Amino acid sequence: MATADWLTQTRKGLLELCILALIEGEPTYGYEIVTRLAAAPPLAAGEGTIYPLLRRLREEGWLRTYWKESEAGPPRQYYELTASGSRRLVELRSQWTGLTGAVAGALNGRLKPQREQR
Amino acid sequence: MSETNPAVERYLARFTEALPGVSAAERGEMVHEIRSHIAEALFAGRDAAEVLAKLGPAERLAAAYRAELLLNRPPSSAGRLARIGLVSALAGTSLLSLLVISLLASVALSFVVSGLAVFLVGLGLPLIPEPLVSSPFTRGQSQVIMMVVGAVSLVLGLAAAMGLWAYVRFAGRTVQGLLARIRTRVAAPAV
Repeated sequence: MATADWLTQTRKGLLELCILALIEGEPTYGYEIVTRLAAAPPLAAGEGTIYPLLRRLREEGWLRTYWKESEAGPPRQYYELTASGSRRLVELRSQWTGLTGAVAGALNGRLKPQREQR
Repeated sequence: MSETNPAVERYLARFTEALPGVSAAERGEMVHEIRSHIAEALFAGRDAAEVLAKLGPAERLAAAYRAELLLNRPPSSAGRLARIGLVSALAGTSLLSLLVISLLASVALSFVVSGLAVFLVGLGLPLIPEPLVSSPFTRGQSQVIMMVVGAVSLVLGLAAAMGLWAYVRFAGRTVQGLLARIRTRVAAPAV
């Protein structure tokens, strides 16, 4: 259970980055975002966790939404990045790169003090 | 969605009920996007029960929405604190004003009135019949003393009145500023 809790905590911030990255290329509708994230099992929080997150990202001004009819199915709410959303994504990306490097270093023991270097 | 599924409608009703304190417009949007998700999943051929299970209990979904909305609005609690601070400042200013204004007003009024009275009596002293005034001073000395004391008192009273005027203007500006800040705080969106 402890591992699942840890994953939940870690995933929360990462989902935000993943959603921004997923939408970056082209506007995407909610159901597609949810199912594409669900296809990556370690990321796949319940489908219900994505919509509240999308709403917050929208309120933060990083996403904007619009409704559009689909050819055959029901109308879809599309999400796209705003200018500040794009800036946010660039920021989070570089943070993530720095983090993964540092974490990899810690896991490989490279962050330990090296006293013999004198 | 042409056909309505009772399980879906029950789910959405429970979801709506679990969103108290959220504005009707916002709640409508949330229900709309969840309904749209379900419709899309059903259109893709999924089973309603499975789709609802994947969304999780309606109450938990609503709680997640509320949590994200609160996350997005840190000024809500900070703003409340700031507003309490502003209102306290306003109350403090008002209390101080009450003391300062009543003190200055009474000093101004009494000094001006009594100063004027003493000065006038001094000025008109020669006209007052002798037996009415008994004094260790000569009439001339009394007249000079009364006019000087009256004039000094009058000047003090006028100074207090000017101080009162300056203070009222200053307090007015301060209170207006505070009120404007409180109003913008109140106008900020609340959950």
